Amino acid sequence: MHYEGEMILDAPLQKVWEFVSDPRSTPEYVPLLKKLEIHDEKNFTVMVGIGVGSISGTFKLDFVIAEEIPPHSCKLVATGSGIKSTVELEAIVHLSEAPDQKTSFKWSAEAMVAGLIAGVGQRLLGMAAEKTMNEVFARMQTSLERKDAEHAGQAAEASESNQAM
Amino acid sequence: MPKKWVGTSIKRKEDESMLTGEAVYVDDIHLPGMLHCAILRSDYAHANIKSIDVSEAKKLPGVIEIITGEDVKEYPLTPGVEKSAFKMKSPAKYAYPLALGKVIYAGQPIAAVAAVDKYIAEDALDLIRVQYEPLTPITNMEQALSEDAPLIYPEWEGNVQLEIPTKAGDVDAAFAEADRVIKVKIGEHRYGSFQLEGRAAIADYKPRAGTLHVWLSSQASSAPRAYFARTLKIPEQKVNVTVPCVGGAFGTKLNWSVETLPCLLSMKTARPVKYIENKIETITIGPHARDFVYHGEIACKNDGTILGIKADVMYDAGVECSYRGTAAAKCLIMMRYFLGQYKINHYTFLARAVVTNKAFQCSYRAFGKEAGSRFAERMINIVARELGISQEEIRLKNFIQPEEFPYRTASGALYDSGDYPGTLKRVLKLADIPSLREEQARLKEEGRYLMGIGIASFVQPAGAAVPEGYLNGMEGATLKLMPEGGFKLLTAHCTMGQGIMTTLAQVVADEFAVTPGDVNIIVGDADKAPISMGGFSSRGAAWVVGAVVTVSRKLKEKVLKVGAHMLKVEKGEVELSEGKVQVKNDPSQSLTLQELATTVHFWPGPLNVLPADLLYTDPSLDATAYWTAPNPPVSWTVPSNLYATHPNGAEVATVLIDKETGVITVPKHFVIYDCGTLINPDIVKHQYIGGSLQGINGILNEEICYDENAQPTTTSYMDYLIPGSHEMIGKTVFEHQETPSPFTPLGCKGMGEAGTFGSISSVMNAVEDALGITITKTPLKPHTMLAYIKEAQEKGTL
Repeated sequence: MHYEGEMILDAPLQKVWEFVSDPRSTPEYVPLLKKLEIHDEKNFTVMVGIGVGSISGTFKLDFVIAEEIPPHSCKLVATGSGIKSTVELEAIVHLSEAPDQKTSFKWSAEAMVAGLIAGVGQRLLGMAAEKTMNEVFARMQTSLERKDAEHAGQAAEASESNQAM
Repeated sequence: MPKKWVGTSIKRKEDESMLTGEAVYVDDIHLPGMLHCAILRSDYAHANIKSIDVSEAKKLPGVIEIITGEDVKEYPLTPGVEKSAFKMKSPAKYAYPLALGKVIYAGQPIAAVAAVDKYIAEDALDLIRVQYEPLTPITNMEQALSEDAPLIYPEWEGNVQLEIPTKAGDVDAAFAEADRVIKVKIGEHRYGSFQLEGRAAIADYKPRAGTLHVWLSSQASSAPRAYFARTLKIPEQKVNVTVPCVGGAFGTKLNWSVETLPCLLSMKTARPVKYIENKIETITIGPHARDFVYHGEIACKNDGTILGIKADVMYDAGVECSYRGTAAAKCLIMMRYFLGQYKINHYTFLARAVVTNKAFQCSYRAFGKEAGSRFAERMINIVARELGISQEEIRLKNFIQPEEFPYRTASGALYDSGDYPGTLKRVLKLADIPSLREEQARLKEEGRYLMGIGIASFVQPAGAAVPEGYLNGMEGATLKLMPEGGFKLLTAHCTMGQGIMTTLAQVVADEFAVTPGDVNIIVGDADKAPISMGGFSSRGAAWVVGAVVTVSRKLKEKVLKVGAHMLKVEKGEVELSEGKVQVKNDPSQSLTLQELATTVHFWPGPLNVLPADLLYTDPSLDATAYWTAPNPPVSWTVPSNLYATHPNGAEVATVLIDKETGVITVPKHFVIYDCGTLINPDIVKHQYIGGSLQGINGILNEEICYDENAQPTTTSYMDYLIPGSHEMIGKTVFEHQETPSPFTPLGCKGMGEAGTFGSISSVMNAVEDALGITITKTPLKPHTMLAYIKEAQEKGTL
């Protein structure tokens, strides 16, 4: 199955890249993330809650960062299982500059789903993927804004303390 | 005169128990220390298994045991039908209760868990890691037969499990003589029965005693006892199978491969293990049925006389069609019955069972006979339309005639009795065809609905004895006259909705001139009763009733002999009447059965009561007897008769097709059905109507779908459309006809599968009557019908 989409994030390209290319930020934007294990620079495992139609449960996905062209693109390959299902996933993310210091986030994914989810939820998978991605982007945006604010706060604090000195 | 119970529509004795929840099904049984089994099933339809890791799952508190393919290597499944019987290729290497190295359909069991409750067992499945190496799956017959198709069984040269060409007469001469040769394509999609109760089993293995007791939702008890004994390598004398109430089966519970898993887990844990299938498993694994396509060329005269047929059937059996289901052999039945009720003596026929990466198949109201019937009943209509003659006329022209019975068809079947023209004429009158045609014309004028009138006239083979397999011809029963004067009938036959607790009591009641209330039926326990092949192939009324009549008459002889001795008259001078043995010309000299039985057993006991020859050889008031059909099948080869009886029927169905939505409804259904001597006419009628609904909804709405990876996509009742109140048949007018069979003691013929024979054909023929074109694609869902309506509009046949 093929999925794709595009969103505009209100943050500059470099900042978005730093955020999304670091697996440690995944808890901030992946909904229902139950566990993250970072094995090394290229490999990490997530346990994530998934709900499709009448089925819900936990999926364990092993990710490999297969290709990276900073700050523009990366390719992720994942295999995983859970909820009596197996998935093989290949996802590509393309970032590019958009007007007004924004960033275009284009993504596409090829998923091979087998087992219960394929049987029960196949027709619902597209909708579920879209809904999840919307939430991912919303959370990304919030995180990026919060980082901005924190950054600004830290900067203000720093300048205050500087003044105090 | 004593009342005759056979032929009377008394109320079913079993219903109150079932309706109030008193009846016991497998899931109602709880044994001390019982574990619960859940099965990890393959995500892929075709893949090598690289590894299975159960270590994490085993750590889950409450998990007691997990088995995988490696643990069951010593237990290959036993085939239902011996492969050598008809040159069927064997998939033995892949036939284990759990996958070994490779999976060949989505849903194939890979691991089985036993845990202290079913929730923990299910949770454990998620902790088992399986690494697959996906292989290209085969999703349909065309792909299976293509040159570069992957092989499901690499040892075979191709994906055909069974290929049998047959012929009869001189088909070339028949075709040379023909005015017309008409081509037909007749097929049906894959669907299934999905009864309320799915597969269910409790296995209780006692390691010190070495015994295995299985409570099983099954259509048979004797056969699975032998099956488990052989598959699990336990001596059969130490195995018992008990079949309590069964919540529907329809042919799907004649294979017990999954049920070996709770047995194996019980053998490992020395605790009872229960397995209750969930609904997703029921729908995706089935076993399913249908999925066949016939191609035929019909040589005929312009007057409708059919001279000969060249045909073949391709049957998509899914996988494992001899070790799990027994489906490959079905195409031999499709071959044997494709001639229907018609006198056609010249044909060539090629039967082929093709394997694909879909779930295995088994029977579903019926085992390929319904498909044979479909060819005959659809073919004859298509030919009639091509020739411009009526559905009625073409049938009457080609029927086997009443005086020709017993009739041996060119394909080897032996039809016992019937009156095919008479049955058809009765249903035509019952339906009042001229008034239906008027209604059709009026609706056409009004414009919203297209009405169609379809006829079907079918023969329904009933009562199989399957040579060289577990479902062979052997039927026994034990009857006891209890000390208190009532009767216990013991049969290993199973109750799954047929009404046997009532009908068998009616049969015994008539033999002893008592009431059905005086007879209690003990069913479904292999160890309590002699061998019974169980309930399948509409065999109860032929085989089980055959055994019950035989044992009743055997015991009756003894009772009359004892009664005469006690009344001090000759045996020929007594008779049974209203629960008594009495002297024929002097009813004042009589003994109730209770007086007789109590006297023999207890007061004063046998010594001073029984005649000397009985006292020292056979003092009991019990009897055991077996029955087998006088027209037994001897082999699978043609010509050979596989079925004891051949009921027949004729139907008229009307359909209304909504031109705007494509939705089909069936407002009227007229039936004349002849299953020989009737035991309980209402039970026959209502089984027939239930079966018709199954048939009609199957052809209109139900379908098992797979995607391009052979993943099942109809896995719940959101996608798989079982009938609701909207799908009910509007009005059924049902009448009986009784042409007794010469081959059974009471003249009864089996009837359980009848509903799916005529109903599907008559509805499809009605749809074609409405549209004036030939239908080849099923199910007839609204979007399919909209396309057909468009086609008919373009062809100008509306």
